[in-house]
Amino acid sequence: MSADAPRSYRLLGGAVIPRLLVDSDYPWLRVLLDERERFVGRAQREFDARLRDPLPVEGPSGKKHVVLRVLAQLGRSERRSPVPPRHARRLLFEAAALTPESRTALLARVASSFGVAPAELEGSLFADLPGERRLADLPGSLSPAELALRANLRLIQGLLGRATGVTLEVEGNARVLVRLAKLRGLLCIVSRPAPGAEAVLELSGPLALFRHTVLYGRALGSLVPHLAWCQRFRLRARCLLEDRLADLQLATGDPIFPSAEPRRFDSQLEERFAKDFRKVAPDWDVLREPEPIPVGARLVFPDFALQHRSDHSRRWLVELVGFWTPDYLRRKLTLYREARVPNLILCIAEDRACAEEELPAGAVILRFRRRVDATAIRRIVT
Amino acid sequence: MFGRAQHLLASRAVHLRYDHGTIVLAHVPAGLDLTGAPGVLWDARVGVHRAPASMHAALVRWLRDRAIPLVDRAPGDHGPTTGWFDPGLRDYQAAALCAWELAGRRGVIVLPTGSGKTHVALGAMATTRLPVLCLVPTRVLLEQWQREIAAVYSHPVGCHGDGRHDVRPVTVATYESAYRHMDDLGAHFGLLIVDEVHHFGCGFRDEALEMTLANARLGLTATPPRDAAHASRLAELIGPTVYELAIGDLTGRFLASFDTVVLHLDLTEAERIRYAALSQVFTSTLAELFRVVPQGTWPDVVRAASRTAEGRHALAAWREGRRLLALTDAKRRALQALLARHRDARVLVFTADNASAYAIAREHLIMPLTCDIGRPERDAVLDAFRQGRLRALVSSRVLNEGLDVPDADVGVVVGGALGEREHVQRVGRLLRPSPGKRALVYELVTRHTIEVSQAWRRRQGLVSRRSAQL
Repeated sequence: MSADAPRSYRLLGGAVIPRLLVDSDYPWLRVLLDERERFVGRAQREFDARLRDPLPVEGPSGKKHVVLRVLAQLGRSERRSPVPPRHARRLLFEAAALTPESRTALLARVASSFGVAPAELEGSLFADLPGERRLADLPGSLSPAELALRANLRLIQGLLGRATGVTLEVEGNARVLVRLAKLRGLLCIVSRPAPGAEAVLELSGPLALFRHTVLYGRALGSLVPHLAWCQRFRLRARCLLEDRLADLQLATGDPIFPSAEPRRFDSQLEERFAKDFRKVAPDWDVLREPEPIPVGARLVFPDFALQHRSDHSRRWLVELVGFWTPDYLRRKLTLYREARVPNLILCIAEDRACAEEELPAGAVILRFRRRVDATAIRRIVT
Repeated sequence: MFGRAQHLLASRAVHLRYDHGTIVLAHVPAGLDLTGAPGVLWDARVGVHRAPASMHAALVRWLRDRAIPLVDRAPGDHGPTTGWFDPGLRDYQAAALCAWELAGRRGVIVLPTGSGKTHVALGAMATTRLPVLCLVPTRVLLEQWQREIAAVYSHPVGCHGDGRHDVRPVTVATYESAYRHMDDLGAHFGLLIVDEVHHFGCGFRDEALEMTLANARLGLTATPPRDAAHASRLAELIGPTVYELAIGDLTGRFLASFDTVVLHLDLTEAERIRYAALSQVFTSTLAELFRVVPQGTWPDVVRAASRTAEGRHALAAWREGRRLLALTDAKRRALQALLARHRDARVLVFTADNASAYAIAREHLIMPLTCDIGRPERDAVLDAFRQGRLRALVSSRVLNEGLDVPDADVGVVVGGALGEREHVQRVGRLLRPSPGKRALVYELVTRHTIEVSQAWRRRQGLVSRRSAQL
């Protein structure tokens, strides 16, 4: 955000209120899209110059600023020039260095060597640079409604780029968010304040312990499009804006562009295990991502539940563990025991041990290398 | 038996582990008081003690001083690097390196542009043989540093930035890439070298330096921060200034002498009216802000202005004024005359922005060197300039920092945006010595505008760096 860029939010007391785009913005978005359509094939620079003058229906400057950035990101541009620009630059500038000819004479001479007019040579000189590239069609048919959603996502991500930490209350899809947060190097503490309440995710980064850092803002912002897949959510972020901390709130129903549907499996390893197990134990159901299990105020997320089709009391939970230490496994087992989960299988990656100490006793632990042995699991559960 | 004893010791020891730019202390025995342990705080989020990775060495010392058993699983030093050749340091470069060694391998070396700061860094790499991460500000410098290292190091050099993520015992990374990936990179190196280190210490991206285990740290700059708070923070992150030479100290033997000519120019009538209108908008608003924040720096005022619509309007007017001054009609004409006059010399033209650089390139048919010009073309352009196939280059920022620019004799400063520091670096581009060389720097300054005071300040910057050549 440059200092003189119009603001797409306002600060009210200790809160930051994003200026989200809504239905009433569609008319000016339509006009803007039409205007851009008119400039397809012309230089980006010309479109930029046009936008410095008001449109027939003008949008608020803060919102327009965000929308233009989205359009720049979505809209491809292409180079069109009779002479390859790099070649034109090399020949023309080197010729200019060697002869005292006038500019006009030089342009004419070099242009003729390319078989083009001097104006065409001049037009080609920087045709590959950002401002000179030609505007291309937007992908698909971008409606004002979709443009508004995309702009809102960018706006919120921009604000979260200044976030020092995020609290998320979610119902449904919590597991995906936890996985994404961990993949992005965030610390994610999951709790459930009361039985039956929504899961609460506290997200921040390791270094946030020492300072208000916006180092993790990008990672925090990347979670926003995935919130659309939660049945319900409420996001609260502490953002460092204009030298002070302000709270940003977002909730179910806020118009944000969603991510693609979450993948069914976190990894090939899990997908392969589910397939293998269904094959070797056809009378068992494999439930992907069963309900999280409350342990006191915390939640744990097993990867699979294996349940006998005709006898539901025969149920096992399976967790695939990547990097691990015996201490980590012990804590994990304690959590499951506190939750009174008797039937648990921990599958641990043999090549990802972080210590060589003994494994905790009294646990069903299966080592694997590249593939979890589905037959061995079947032997355990039957 | 020995194995069991070791196992027993390990089970009672504090374990240190690198975790995304921090050090986690695990297995801390009950009753062990960690008050005063460098950088350590209790992380209630996950129930462990944690310290920034940069505190690793101090923390290990602190634990050992108290005879606390310790298992250090923070990787850091992966053993010495091999395959180094002698980089052949000049006497002042060797002295700088020696000062850094004496300071415990932590500190900033200040040398003028063109005096071979990178060579000092190569000396540090070859001497310490520690796995090293070199941070450079731009993608342009990424390539250049790799090339220079490859000349004295027989193994492949890693590269992190510009779309590449190749980590090796000797790796060069851009600031941006390091900032984004230091949680991973930070575990692998014993030596951290930061080129143009003055960019750190003011809050922006400082975390990158806190997230690495590297205990040996070397900063390089031609323009160290003079502001006390900035210098103090930099000392904390890298170390204090351990060696400093200015242009005047090396002029003659190692750097060429130079003269400066200031050309005072006028605005046209239309430009004057437009500039006056813009000035009225920004001076009234910004003067009011300076009154409210009397001790405020320019960034403070910009921050304050950006909070109101009126302030933002004033900032926009200020930028528009800058754009107008960047390439006035008189500057265009003066530049034409200077290029004709120095037709046989190698000329570098410096502008305030890319738009002016392209305008000059079109008008005077000289090659622009901007961030938009890709790496292969940039290398080819510098090569052509070196061989004399190009006689002039125009640039706004690419030539400012670090880039190894071939010998040039004449500089024309059409405009600048970054003040004293930028000017010192630009002048430095012309000081590569050759027999009988005396470089010439022209400054184009528009009368009765903000440029007059800016030009005065940037020349003061050169004077304060003890150059006797003005």
